[in-house]
Amino acid sequence: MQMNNKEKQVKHISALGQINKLIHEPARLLLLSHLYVIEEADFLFLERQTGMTRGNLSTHLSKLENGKLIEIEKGFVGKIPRTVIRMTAGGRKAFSRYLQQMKGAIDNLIE
Amino acid sequence: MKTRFVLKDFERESFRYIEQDGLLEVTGGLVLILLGLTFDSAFYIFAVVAVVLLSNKLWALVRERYTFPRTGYVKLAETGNKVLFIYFTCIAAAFAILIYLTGELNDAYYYRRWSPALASSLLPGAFILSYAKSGSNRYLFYTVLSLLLGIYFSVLNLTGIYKGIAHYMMIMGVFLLFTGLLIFTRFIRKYARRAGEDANEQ
Repeated sequence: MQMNNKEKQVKHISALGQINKLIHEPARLLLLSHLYVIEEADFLFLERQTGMTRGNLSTHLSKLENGKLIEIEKGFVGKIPRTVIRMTAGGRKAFSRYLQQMKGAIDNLIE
Repeated sequence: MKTRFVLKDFERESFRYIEQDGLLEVTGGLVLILLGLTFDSAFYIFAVVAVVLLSNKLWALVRERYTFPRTGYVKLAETGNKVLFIYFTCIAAAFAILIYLTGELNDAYYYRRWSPALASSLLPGAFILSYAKSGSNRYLFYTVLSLLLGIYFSVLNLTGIYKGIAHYMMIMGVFLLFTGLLIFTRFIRKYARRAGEDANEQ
């Protein structure tokens, strides 16, 4: 039984090797944490919530969009342009899986 | 799970961030004042229809014009309907049990007298939901105030059919409107208006 627990511990910690590196970056993790709990937001909201500079935020959003974790939709509200950012369904699954992997690894690293 | 607790904090922060415009109080106040003024009149049904059809649209319009240019646009996750449903069901059940226990089922006077207390118990559903979402103590204060006012007008037992409930709605409405406008003024001063942002700025 103790060997099985040990094997499980090793398995959880080893899973860190397969962690999603697109998510596993502090700024992007912060960004996705905000997006995960809302439906959608625009650039200004995310800028204020994360405290990132506009350039930095733009760079990370582009990476997340290229990795298909978020989608960016440009539209109008009346005559005012609005760019809306939301997590994709795949992005939510990936983020949830990432949280599970991190939790499993950290729980088994700390006794 | 520790992680869920932290994510809950993010959600609360987002909700609190948006609700700092005070529009919940302003809209709620205007609705209560309108309903209170028309309660005992033929216009009441029109007021109810207007509230149902227009209040959300008005709220969205004001948010688009004043809030989102300052805070940025966000659409929060729709949660809490279950909480509201359970809350309203519990309040209705509590009153039904109370009336049954006092043996006043067929007494119209009894219903009229305690209608302010009932209304004042139902309104805090929205406040409690907002408190659960934001953690902001001002919603607890509104809840307590609403309950105290409703009980006060029920105990006072004003003459005239449903006068107590009308007074409750007007006083609560004026308080919320005044508070909301103060919060809104502070919000406008705190946040400068910014134009819409392009996420793909280079």
